[in-house]
Amino acid sequence: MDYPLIRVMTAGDNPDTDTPVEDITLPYPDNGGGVLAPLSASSEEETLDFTRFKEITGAKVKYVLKFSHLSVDTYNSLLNKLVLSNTAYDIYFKYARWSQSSDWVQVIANIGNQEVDNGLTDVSTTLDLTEVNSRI
Amino acid sequence: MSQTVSAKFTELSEANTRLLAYNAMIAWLKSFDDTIDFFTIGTSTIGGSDIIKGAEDNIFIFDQFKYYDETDHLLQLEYERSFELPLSGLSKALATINLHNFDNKYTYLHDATIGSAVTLPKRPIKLSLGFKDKLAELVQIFVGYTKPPINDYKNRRVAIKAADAMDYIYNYTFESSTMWVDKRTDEIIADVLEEIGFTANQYSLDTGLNTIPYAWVDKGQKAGPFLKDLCEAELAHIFVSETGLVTFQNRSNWASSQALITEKFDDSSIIDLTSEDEDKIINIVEVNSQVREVQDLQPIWNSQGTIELAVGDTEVWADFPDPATTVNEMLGTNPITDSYFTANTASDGSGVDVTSYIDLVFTSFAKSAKMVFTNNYGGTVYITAAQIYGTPAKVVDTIYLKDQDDTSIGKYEEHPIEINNNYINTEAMAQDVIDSILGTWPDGLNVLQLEVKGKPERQLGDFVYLESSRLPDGRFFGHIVGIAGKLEPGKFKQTIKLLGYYAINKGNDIFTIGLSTIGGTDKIAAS
Repeated sequence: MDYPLIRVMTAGDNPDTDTPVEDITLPYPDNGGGVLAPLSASSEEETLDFTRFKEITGAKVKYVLKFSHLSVDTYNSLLNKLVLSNTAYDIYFKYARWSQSSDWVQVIANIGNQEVDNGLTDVSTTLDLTEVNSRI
Repeated sequence: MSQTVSAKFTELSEANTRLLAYNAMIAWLKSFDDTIDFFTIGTSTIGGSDIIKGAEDNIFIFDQFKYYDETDHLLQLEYERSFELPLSGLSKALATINLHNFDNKYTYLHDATIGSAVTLPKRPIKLSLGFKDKLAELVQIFVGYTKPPINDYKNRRVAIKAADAMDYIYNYTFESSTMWVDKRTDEIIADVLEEIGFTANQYSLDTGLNTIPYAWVDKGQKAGPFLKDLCEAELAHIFVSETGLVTFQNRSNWASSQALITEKFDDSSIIDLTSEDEDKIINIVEVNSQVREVQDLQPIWNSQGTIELAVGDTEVWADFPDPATTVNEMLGTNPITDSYFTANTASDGSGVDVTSYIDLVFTSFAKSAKMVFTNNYGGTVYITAAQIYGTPAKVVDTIYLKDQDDTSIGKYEEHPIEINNNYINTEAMAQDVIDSILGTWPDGLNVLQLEVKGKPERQLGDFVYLESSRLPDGRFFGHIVGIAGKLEPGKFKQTIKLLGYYAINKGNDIFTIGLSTIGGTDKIAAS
């Protein structure tokens, strides 16, 4: 299975046909560190006789990748494109582990703290990737 | 009564899990688009450019604008339409949408296409709601004009308020006085709408049940209160529909709807249920009306003394005690049975008649006339007599009627209201107005407010039935007189206000399709 990929695109460009600004290959996340979290804009309510109903305006998926060993170079690539950038890029994610991300899916990406352990060249961190568009 | 929707829409609307769909379109540039088609189920896409049309066949002016789809920026949508109580004569609708502005789309001059227009008021706006399904349509719930947007620059959000066309109609100021003689309510409303700029396919008017001997509006008067009085005199209703059609419904319209229940509520469909407070009780009603009728030609003004005219122009105003449908221009002549004036070199008329030296520019209005005399004699002269003839609309009948509900007064003390409406022409009409109010507001139990799952197709005037053990009588019939809807992420609820029928709700004495049985004791409601 291919490693998880982050594709950095100029805003508005197509990740399948246009030239990416940068591709960042991630290592496999930790065992148990790959989480697919369903998100929905929804509410549930009850009527006078306790009949429950639910309403939904949108639903999507959030991917959470936890890394105990991420190279400093990879972390810095993510940091420079996702946070320390004067340009707003479109970020795409692909990872065949989940059918929802087997093709490029546009996400809002947030990178967590860089945790450094003494004596190691790698760092640990968490990457949150929330889909931009509702799937319904 | 309730917008027409497809069976699929109804199915989705009543499901326990609902996928909400919505649409917000704004014609930022107010440009016309002739290529727009109406939404076709199975062909058009939700969020596409096709216009969603209501049940009416007419294409309205609102349909012809080129709209920009702002749905993907929509954070929240609220709308409200309600009749002015207690007589429910006129309804206005308001809406507010909140949009995110992370991309600065609504920041002045940022967007190449709409940037120059995003701060402007009076942009046509259409809002629709429904459910996510290719086989179901969206239902338009509001059309109107925007107010200037409020930009929250810090949080990158924009709030846009809008009012429906009734706001424009209500605040229209008549540019001249207009009079109607022996016209029905709908005929007068049609004239007013035409003057405001509406064409015949932009309104739908029931035949009015009141023929008004004399109605008039003065220059500078607002159209809204006038239309409200016209409607309330005959217990009718005027509003702008969700699709933009100005609609007048006579009293028979609602009365006949009492046999057709639009919707049935019970404890499984009501989220919250509250009654009105004591302030809404009315148990004494006074009705005052001064009925005017147009009279034959007669003197309506005279100068009451002399008017001194120096050489040159002198402006004189004549105020009439009653509005007149015709005012005859004064001529410089000897007294005849028509408008005239006479000028003399002496204030007591003992000098030389110099009427022929006086030119007059005469301008008449409904309740006044402006006279500009030009003295060409060469010295001061005097108008020794002047009179204006016209056909005044005099008060021929003063109606005063008072009635009260002693039972209600005994329980809740006096809660009076005074209705002043000069288009109530007869005591019978006055009694109808009184009965309507006393029959509706004797206690706080006859107006209910319900919080319910939102259904976009609900309309003002829908006749609904409630069944709940929580109600004093276990049941309640009423018309919807107010709808407030709110769409938030994952939620669409409506608060609806119901105006009940006290007598009906105290016993099943009205024949109701679906509830009553043929041959049973229930009666057909009188109009």
